Amino acid sequence: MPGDIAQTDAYKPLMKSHYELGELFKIHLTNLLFTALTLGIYRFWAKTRIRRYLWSHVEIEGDRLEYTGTAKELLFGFLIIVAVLIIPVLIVPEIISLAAVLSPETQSAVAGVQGLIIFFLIPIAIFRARRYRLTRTRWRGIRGGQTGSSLVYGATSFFWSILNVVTLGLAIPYTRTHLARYRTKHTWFGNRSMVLDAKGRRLYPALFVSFLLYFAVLAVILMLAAALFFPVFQPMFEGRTPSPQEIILSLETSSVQLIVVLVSAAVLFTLPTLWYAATEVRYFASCLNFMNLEFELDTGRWRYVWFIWTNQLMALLSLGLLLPVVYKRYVDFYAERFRYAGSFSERDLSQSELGAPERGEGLADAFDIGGI
Amino acid sequence: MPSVSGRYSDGNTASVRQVRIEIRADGFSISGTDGDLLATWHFDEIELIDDLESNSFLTLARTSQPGARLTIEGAAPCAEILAAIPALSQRRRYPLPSLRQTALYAGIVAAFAVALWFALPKVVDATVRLIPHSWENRIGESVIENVANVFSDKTGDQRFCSTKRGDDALNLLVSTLAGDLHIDFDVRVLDTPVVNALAAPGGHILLFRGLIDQAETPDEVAGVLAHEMAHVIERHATQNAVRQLGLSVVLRALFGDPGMLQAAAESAIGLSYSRDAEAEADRIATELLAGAQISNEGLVSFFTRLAAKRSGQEGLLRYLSTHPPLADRAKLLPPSPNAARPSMTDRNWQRLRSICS
Ligand SMILES: [Zn+2]
Repeated sequence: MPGDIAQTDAYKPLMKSHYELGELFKIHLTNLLFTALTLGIYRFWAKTRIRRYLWSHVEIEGDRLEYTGTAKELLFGFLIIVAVLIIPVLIVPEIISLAAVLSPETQSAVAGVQGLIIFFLIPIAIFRARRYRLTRTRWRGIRGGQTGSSLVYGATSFFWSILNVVTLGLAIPYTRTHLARYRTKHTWFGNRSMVLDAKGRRLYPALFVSFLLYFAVLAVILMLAAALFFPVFQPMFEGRTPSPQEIILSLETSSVQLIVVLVSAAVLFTLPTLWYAATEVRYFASCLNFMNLEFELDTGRWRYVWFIWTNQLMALLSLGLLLPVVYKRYVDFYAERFRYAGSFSERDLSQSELGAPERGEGLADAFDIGGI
Repeated sequence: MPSVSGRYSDGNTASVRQVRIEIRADGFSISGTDGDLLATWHFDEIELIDDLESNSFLTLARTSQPGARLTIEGAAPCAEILAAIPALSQRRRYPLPSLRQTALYAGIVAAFAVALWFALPKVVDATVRLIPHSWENRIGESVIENVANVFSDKTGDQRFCSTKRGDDALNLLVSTLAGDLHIDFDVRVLDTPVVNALAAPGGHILLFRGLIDQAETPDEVAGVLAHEMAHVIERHATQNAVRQLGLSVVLRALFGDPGMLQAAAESAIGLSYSRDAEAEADRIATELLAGAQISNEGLVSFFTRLAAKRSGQEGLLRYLSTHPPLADRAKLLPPSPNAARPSMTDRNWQRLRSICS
């Protein structure tokens, strides 16, 4: 049949990257400049500009992706969130608690409720932002889409996070897999949805390894702290308890050591999480199914950990200045390692009839989620 | 008729075809490699989706055929298309403002921000004037209440030190410093070893017991008290609350949830104003002391001594602190008038020192 992708047994790369650092930096640096000059208002245009580039320089089967979102949609999405959420939930209680002179207990209760609302809204924001981005993505003119309810997704995430805390993390493979299945099942491209045939229990070995890693990191940090803060503990070795004044004094004089310990803790404690994430992302890739195509992410776990680790450090330490490098590394990584096998009939993939939101990402923008 | 090759998808399915695009007088004829006509696109319904790789990669769309796409690759074919539809670059489906437009808007917003920066003290001042005294008083009460709870482990009135003679000595000092000002000062001593003093909205002043204990002369207490009274006279605490609230409302509306950027902006702006307020309070304190014919050397020596004690915190903290460096403040204070008299009698000084026993 003409137009069909040839059947092969071997996995081959899905995407081809056309990212160029020079072009990316040109967009990114002007974005930063104008965002600063406009006190942040330009960020909706900035996001749209960079996404245009990021989408249109990814090639799939000879054709580029297309980003059809506009800055106005993002701006109006944010304004609506300001009106329905930020003013009534975040600003008005602040004014009331100042004007009505609430007791400290009431004030902390108000702050607690505000925190809970935001915590509940974050997964909703993620799900809604996904819908916006999917409906604004086209390939060969065919549009993406997302079904499902952000409220259901938010409520599920909310209860799953409580369950994760109550079970000390033991439920993580189940809860994360469940949410990933929900997201995938409701992810559409054209008239077809995706399937994630993943089982949470398959991720328990990875969870236990990451628990072991966690305790190893804890031991390393404690040993480092003990070595650096030896003067603090010295009295204990001499058989007496140091007085609080002594402890405070030695902590004050050893602020460099304190920074060393805190930074190494912040860097090393990401390891266990990343190791689990590496196992999960490979497993999920192998469980993904779209129009009977099969997928794989061809990477070793440590390579993935190193990849994410360096990306995050680079973005963080450069205060976002090096984000173009991160984008390019990211897409190059997936272009090389995310592969598919099988064939599908292009004629069976027809235009999406799902609805698309009129405005974009207000919530996600308000809580600064999503990066690009 | 000139023609170029391209890729065409009709918007109904994901299948794509190699096509020949014949450029005619009023539009394109798009036909497959086998010669059958697939579509006819008129120039006035053609929109530009993307022009990439400096005009050697064009993606076109058609208004009346949703989802249909035509892709042309290569510098020469793209040039022919652009020549056929000269207005194409203005017919973007999803336009973004040009760099020049953006620079203009950014300039306007930045100018507004600078204007707001200079207008902020006046706006805050005007707002503070609108706040009724009773309201200010209640806020001040609650500030005092919170501070007392944090610094004292006692409860209720036990948190504040009060003896008949001590109170009289303190009130005499307050009215000496106040001169003919018509302001109700409410000065209380908080029972805590911490060395500090603060002025809350509504004329409430807290002297911490630690400050009275650590003071070597009554003039030192008088100096600090004058400084706090200056804050009350200028309503600095109320201004501070109004400015903080206003800034957080504006910044939240701009950025959404308080992120790092907002917190940094808020504290940086707050810092710069509170340093000004401290300098102003020092200046007015000197005037109050001069009016009461009290030397301001007490204030100077107290700051110098505190500076020496806290020298470990200087350096980086010096720039992050809301107060100007103590040593600098001591230097900045003008010399005191010649005709100086003690701020209180020895007997009253002893009574004030034992106000907490
Ligand atoms: Zn002050």
